[in-house]
Amino acid sequence: MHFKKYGLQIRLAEESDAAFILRLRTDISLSRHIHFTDSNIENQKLWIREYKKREQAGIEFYFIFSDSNGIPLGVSRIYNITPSFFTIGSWIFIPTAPQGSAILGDIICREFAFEKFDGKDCHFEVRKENKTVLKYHHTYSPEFLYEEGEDLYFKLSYSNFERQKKRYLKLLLKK
Amino acid sequence: MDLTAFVNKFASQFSEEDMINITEDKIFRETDTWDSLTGMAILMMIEDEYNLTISPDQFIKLKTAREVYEFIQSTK
Repeated sequence: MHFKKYGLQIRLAEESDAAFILRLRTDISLSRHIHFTDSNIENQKLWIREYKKREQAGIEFYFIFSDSNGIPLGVSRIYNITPSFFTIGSWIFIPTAPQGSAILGDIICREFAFEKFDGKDCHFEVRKENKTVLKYHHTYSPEFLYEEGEDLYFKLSYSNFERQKKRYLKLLLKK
Repeated sequence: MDLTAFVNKFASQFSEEDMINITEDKIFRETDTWDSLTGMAILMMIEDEYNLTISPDQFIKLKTAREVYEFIQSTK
């Protein structure tokens, strides 16, 4: 799978992306608010090999977002797909990514999921201390589900996603 | 909205720990918690308050809250 949208190139993660993913997930400035990641590259490759089996089964999708030159900018993932919802997470972009590309990546990931899993809600969790990400998610008016440990859990409907998405696209795609 | 009110509104888009650091002439991208999501929150606030859409390419050229405010005034 490889496609272009909103100025980004999108493809599914491969074992050869292990170093990029590891760099993102172990970067001190980026990883303060995500789950711990083992810094061993071989373990990351093993994780991706196991992920590819889940991808083949259609139960998980790990996207790599690149610029028009193919330079990787960030990642996002769809997982834990149940009869009533799918979950998005692992959303990280490099700090030097062009303004707005992280949001475009998030929108593309959710558009893909809402289209593929028609009728399901979008679930996600955010670290309580991850204030700017929490503020961003709140702009979509998600429903708060529960709190567990350091994390807050939310549910977002397709209609709320579409409403706010249009506002972001209007800003981000303006030349 | 005058400059002082605008700066207060501008600062409220930042994380709590950085709100107090935002002044009229502070280079806001140098604050500790600055990220692209904060930038988008500012652009969204401007659209809500002024019905003005500033593109990311235009926004990147503006360094301080005063410059953003003056840019908005110049479009009126």
